[in-house]
Amino acid sequence: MARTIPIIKLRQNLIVSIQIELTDRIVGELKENLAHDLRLFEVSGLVIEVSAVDFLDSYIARSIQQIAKIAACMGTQTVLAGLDASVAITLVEMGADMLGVETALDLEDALDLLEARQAEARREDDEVVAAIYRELED
Amino acid sequence: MANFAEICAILGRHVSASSARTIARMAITRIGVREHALEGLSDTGPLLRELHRGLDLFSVSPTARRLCQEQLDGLLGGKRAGAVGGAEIRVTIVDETHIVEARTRARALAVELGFGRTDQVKIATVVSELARNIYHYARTGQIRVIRSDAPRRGIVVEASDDGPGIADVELILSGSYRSRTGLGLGLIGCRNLMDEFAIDTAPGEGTRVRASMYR
Repeated sequence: MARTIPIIKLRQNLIVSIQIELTDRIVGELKENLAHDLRLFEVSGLVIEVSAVDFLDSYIARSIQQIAKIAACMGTQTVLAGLDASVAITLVEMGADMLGVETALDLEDALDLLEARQAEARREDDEVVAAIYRELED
Repeated sequence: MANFAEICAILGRHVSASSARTIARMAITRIGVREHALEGLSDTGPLLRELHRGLDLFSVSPTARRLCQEQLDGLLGGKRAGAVGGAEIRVTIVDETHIVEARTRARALAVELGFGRTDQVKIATVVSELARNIYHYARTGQIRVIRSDAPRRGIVVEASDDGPGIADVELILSGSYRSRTGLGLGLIGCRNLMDEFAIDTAPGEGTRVRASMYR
């Protein structure tokens, strides 16, 4: 089935760039498709790029938070990238903040952030493995 | 008379910023007026015709094209006549697409009335919240957005429905209660974003909200 908002896999991340007027139906569809793709591709990062979004109400903001939570349940970290200044002011003033969702200035920063996290996680894994080996050798 | 930037701003809501400039520039070139001389243009008929033609050349949906033309007519037509009237929109909320229609048209009106970008976003957000409440709780109702000249210049958003009404509206607005669907957050958000906010509701008596923002 054709998707209204394409989901792109790039290395260890999924990227969605929202460039259309969001209706409730499209938001719901995106939620489903993302959950499906997170399972399918087993990525560790998700970037939701919203620089073309010139409007977010509490329902859409909540939906993005839900997407981040769904992703977290599947071991994926979400970064919201490129939030417009006027939209950010409106969200904060109305009390519908984006708490719980990490943010970045743009797509590049978001990918840098996720890659840094992924490198860190790999290093930690390596350390654990190294520790186990040391214990086995003793 | 409107200036070049205002025309581009309206076009830019429906096409990309560069396409908007192209359409606007093409139109003024064709009618032989310079950008800075636009303010003094008395007959905007030919300009509007050229803008409509320009829009036709770009691939926008029929709905967006009609909406954009209405907004251009509002900007150029309204100010040419020096009239106050016409600055009003009404959207009957029946299905989900009307939420988008209401907020898009409210925003266009905010642009027309000269509100800044952040205020435009706030007004669109308030209309979206109120339209969504109508759709989710009352199924149908009406959104009306009008300009206000007295006591102060600004914009007034009115939402009315004959739905079930809200029993404990004070409690909801105090923020101590949060519905699963987010009704509280939406109403509190509207109150926070606007300069004035009034709600009149009781169980079985529908809901009427009036929210104003001043310039």
